[in-house]
Amino acid sequence: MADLNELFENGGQLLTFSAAENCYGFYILDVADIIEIPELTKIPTAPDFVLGLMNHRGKAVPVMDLRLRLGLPEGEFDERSCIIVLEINTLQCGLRVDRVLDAELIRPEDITRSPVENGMVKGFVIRDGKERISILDPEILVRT
Amino acid sequence: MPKFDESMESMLDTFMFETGELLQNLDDILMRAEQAEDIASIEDDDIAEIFRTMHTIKGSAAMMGLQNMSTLAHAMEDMFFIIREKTYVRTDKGALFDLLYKSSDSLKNELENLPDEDIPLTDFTEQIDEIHKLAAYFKGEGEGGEDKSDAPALPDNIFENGEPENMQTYRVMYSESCAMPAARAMVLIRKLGAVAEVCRTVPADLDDDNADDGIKKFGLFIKLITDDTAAVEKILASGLNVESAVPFVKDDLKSGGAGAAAEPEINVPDGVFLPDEDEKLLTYQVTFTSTCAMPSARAMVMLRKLGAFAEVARTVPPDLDDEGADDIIQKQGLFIKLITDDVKAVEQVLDEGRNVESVIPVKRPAAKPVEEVKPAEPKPEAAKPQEAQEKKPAAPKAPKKEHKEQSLLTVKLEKLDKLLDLVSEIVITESAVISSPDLRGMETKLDRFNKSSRELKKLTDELQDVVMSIRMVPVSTAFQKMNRVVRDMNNTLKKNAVLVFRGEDTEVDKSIIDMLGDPLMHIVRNAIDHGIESPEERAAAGKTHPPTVTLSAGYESNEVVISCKDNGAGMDAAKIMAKAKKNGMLTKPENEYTEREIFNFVVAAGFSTNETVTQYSGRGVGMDVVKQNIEKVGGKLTVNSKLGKGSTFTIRIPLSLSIVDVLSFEVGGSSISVPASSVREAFSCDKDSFIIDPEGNEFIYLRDKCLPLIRLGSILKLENSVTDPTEGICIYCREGRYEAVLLADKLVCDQQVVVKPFSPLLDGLHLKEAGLAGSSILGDGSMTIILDMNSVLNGETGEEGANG
Repeated sequence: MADLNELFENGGQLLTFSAAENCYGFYILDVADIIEIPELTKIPTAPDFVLGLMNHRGKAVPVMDLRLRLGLPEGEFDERSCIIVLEINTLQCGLRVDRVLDAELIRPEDITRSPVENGMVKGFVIRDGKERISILDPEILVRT
Repeated sequence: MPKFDESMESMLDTFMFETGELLQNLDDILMRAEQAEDIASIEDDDIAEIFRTMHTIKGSAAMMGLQNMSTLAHAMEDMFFIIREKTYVRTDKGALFDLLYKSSDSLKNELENLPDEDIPLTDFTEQIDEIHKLAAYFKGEGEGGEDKSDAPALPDNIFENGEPENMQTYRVMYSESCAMPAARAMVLIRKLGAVAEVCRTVPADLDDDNADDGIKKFGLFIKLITDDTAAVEKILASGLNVESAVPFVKDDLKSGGAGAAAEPEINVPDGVFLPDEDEKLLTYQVTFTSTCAMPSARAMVMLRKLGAFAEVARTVPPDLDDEGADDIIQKQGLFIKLITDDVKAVEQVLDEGRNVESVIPVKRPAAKPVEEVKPAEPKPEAAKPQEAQEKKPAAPKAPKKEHKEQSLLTVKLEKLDKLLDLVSEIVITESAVISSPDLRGMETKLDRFNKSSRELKKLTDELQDVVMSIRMVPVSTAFQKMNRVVRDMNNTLKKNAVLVFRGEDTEVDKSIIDMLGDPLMHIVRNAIDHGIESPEERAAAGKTHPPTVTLSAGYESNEVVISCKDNGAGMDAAKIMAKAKKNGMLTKPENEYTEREIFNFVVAAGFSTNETVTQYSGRGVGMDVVKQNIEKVGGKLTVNSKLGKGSTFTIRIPLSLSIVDVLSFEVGGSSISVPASSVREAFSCDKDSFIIDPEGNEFIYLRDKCLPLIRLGSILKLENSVTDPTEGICIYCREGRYEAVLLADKLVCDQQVVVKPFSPLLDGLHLKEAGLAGSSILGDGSMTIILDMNSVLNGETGEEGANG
């Protein structure tokens, strides 16, 4: 897993995506793949935000829903919805998002750290005239 | 201080693996060699192999800076030098092998502790002394070491004629405590390679057995050409164990050494000059660089070129095609005898030969009678530094183990797993392509497609088989280790048990072999300590057969069956019962236990029938740990015995730890699978056999049993599943002591799957506790959830299965 501190200090590429009208971002080094929503196998007894398992290149990769994980209302999904495959210490996890927006280069001076330690949101990108981006910590997000 | 040379850290893995293999191999050879009547009748091959093994360990340990290991290996090597050269006058086989095993164990332990910084290096001095003492005893006197009382004269080949002006000479002295200066020297020279061109060293062959002695006596002379003297001196000074490194000039030789020879003296082997040879015959000594892999081949090319100018009479060694020729040439150089009119051309050809290090015309030692050239007394000859005169620079240690060129390749298990993953992916994709819905309705036009797809399927199936088989290793690797256990126990317990193998070439998954080591050792120890009687007892019981422990392996349906059988005293069921009762281990009335169940108490926790605790067993902890370890990988351990005849311990392990036969069902639209091994039968039940008691407990009455009903839909919280037992399918399952009937919607199929545990990211969901073992990807790319039967049956019934 890429070190988020590196992003905060030196800036870097951010993959931005939306869920329930909000804009979020992952440090691009945490992202392994972006794929269409495949067939999912439900895991019995698992909470709602765990959508199930997908067969991603012969591996059973768990898939979660970003909205439900963040406690947002469940949304409708269309053909532009997709799964972002995150790689966390060699472990993969899929995350369903409304849509992927962009990959942008962020300068360190545009990033504000979140004062909350061990929160899902590690910081914000705040720039004039542009939407605010919440930078998510993939590990805290997907570890149950 | 780090345990080993820091610059060698990256080599640690390789060193540990290789040395570990060597030591294991050594044990095997020692076992074999020990069978010999006495030391003189040990096979030469074995002695040579042991010698070589110790030599390699010594070298690589010294390379890593592990002096203690290298000195110990050196001592063992010395010992075997005596045995190999047969210079002993008396022997003591027992003591020798005890010492060898002890040393081999010490080395193994040391190796295991190596990565742990907290465990200091062990001091082997005592052991080394013991070996030296034994070596002295072998040689028939108390004197230690070979007779090497030559006056410390400096080697006379430090300076040669015709050396370049800018060649510098350094004399490096190593501290007394440095066990293998030659190995240190090799590392040093490798480092020097970065800043200087090292032309040669004295002694020339650092890989040679005598190099250490030479360096200890005179220091190491390094001849090099460099532009950066400061860097060279820095490297020299910073070398491990280096005491002093000073530039050395010719004058030093005269003042410091005795009898410096101006003429380079060449160690001319026997047979170069024959008594009546043509006067015109010229002799050249050609030496090749040590990096030259096949000097004999180079020599042949050279001889062919020479043919244009000269008539080559013969060479020493005479047969360049011979296997040993390379060695000889590396050691003493190639001698070419020829007649020519054009000396210049010949010398040019020789000089230009590839990998040629030096070309020296050799004159017949005219004054000396022929006899004197012959190595009349091989012993003192070898000890003199003369042998170190071969003109070769430092060898980067390698070409010593020419005989046992391995046809094996060591691969990381990870890579194999990755390969296996990829292959299963290919198989899945292949079936997805062939059964693609897009092909529907085109069947008539697909003749060629079908033909190629059948071909493809055949190939992928074969590929899968091959990849699976790569992971398979014969159980003999696990069995062989028991030889040692039995030998040690025979020595202490004097039971003279014989170990017999059957079916040791049965192949099983590598992970099973790794896991088998400990359990097998415990069982074998147990068999000899508890099972086999002492010789007196055997005689009293009228047993004439030698005490035998038989290890056998084989396949039985989908399991590997490994058993350890002894023909010892067997176990007394009554005695075991009494003990079990005393320890409060009974769970049902005494008279309900079958003999088989009673014997299996032996492997339960906290049970030991042996009254006295011995060095090997009797504490009652071993066997239940063994049982747990076997059960952890899905295996079973059972015991059977006949009083007076012996006992058998049987281990059954599924053939592959990852591939499981499952029965798949549909429950509320999800695919759920149950390991076939725990399914007794699947049936549809009628209304009459469905029972609800007043407390709301549900049962299915099957033949004469009343079994608890578990609705998979409700325990797995799957909606829309069948709730009426008569509409769904009932699966009667049993796992250990628990049994129940599971209710699913419908049966899909039975198949083989590879169980993949859930991603560790989902650890927080406690899926295992909820009765889920993992998931599996099926042939068509879809997935199924595998149930953990232990927790499903155990957790949900919460009680033992109804007993009728």
